Amino acid sequence: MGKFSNLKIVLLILLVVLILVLVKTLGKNGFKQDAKIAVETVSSNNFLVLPNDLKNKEKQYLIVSLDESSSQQFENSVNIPFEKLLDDKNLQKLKETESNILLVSADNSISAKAWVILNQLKIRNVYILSTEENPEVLKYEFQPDTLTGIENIN
Amino acid sequence: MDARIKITVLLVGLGILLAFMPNPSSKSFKLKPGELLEKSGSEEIYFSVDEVARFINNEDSTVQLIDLRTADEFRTCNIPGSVNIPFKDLLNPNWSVYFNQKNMRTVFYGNGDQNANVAWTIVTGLGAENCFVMKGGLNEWFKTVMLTKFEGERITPRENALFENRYKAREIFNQINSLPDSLKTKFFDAKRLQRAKLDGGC
Amino acid sequence: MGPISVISSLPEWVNLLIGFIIGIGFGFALEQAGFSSSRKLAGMFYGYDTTVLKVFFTAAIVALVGSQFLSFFGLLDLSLVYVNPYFIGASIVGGIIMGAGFVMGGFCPGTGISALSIGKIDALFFLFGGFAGAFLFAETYPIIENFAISGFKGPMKVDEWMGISPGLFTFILIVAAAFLFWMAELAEKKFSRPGINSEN
Repeated sequence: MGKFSNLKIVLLILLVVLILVLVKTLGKNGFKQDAKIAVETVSSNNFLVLPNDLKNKEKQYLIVSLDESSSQQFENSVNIPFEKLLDDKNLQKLKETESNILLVSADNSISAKAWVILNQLKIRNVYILSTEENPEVLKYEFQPDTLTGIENIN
Repeated sequence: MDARIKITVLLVGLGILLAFMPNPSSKSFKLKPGELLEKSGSEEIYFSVDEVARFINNEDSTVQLIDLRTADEFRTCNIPGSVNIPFKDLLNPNWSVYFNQKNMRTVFYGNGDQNANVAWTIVTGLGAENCFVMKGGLNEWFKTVMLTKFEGERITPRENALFENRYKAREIFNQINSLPDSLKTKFFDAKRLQRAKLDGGC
Repeated sequence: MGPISVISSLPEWVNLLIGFIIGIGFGFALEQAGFSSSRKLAGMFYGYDTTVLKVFFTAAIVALVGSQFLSFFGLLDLSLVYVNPYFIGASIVGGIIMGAGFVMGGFCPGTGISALSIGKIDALFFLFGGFAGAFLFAETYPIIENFAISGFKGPMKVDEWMGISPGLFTFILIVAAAFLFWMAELAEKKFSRPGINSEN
């Protein structure tokens, strides 16, 4: 009997650890996505919608405008200011919609940040409307000779 | 005998638990969503190109610039003192030492705003502090710091300081980026952080 | 103190102090396990005393289990933990040299220091030899460099190589350990040398 009563302590420890592990895996209304996915999607530009492409496809998207100017530009958009993105009712709208989500904003930075947050919350099919054709292309050419200076090839 | 059986049972039990636990090779954000949203909504995460120009001019060693473009673009030209971490490679553990500097401010830039903001959000979500973004990226740097000229008849002291700041950064940018490749790499290696390696031994 | 996230915001001197205290713990553990006795250590190879196996294997398993759980609860960032890079040729040759030295000298570097701390003279000379060997390695490095860095495989982990999850690997290791310890006890009975551990 002496052996078993000591084993009880061990079993208790195991039980506590088990409960902690279960709480950790099942709980958390937080970020569950692998950060790698965000990097891969952005590197392949798989999340961008260019203004030209949008012209005929507006109906396909749930357009979410993150600031004032965009909500005026897109009349049938849902206005969710950036700071209120994670409010319960807004988040619910985003999670429950069946169409693709298109984030629009006057500033590319705001839509980019919102995209990362939604992506990591495992909300699928989120895209951002790019304000210009090629956001990550250098528009200038550098001439190494200091005499000629810099050309603007835009 | 007793203690050994206790410990064996404990370890075997923990081992069984571990055997069923998922493979932790994936990394997800440590910050809570609300926290990340609040941080990313602040204007304080941005440095303007003029502020970055001042860092270059003062050789501010508390600032570390990170260039998120490809290696080729980096080689063509880059802001002096910056380290090249191509965006695709952002999560490579080799680079993580750059993101968690307590005494350094880490400033991301790309050609535009997109990659830098995404990188900032990801890195901050993973728990890094003291990270910033250069607003407008290299396109803004060229447009403002490299190409603007003062036009007008009289200059206010403030405008004077602003343009002096830009001219000086312009000169440094041209000089360093015009160096032949061999000298360039020496300059970059000298500025690179040395990562201390801990070797175990018994 | 390493990559444990909750503690990493402590000032440098506290980190060093924690390291110091852990070192005290390590030395204490070695000494109380009897590892200052070269006979006990060499017994691992002759079979009459398998304490070394049990202590070090248990330590490895505790470290494995502990780091897995800490990583799971987000307290430890495993990707920041340094994994020694694997050089095939160098590992084999180094292992042979270390094994031969261990049996002949009856110490390994860590236990050598704990033995020196209780005043053993043979430990002192063993450590001199160790320093001389390290010095020799550094001085002759240009000659042996090609061999020393051959067969580079990077920081390999066994569970990655086997393609199983770290948790499963830990469990297999624990079961293997229990089995090995049982075999070790059998070996002790078979190869026993009564009186070897009495110091006279």
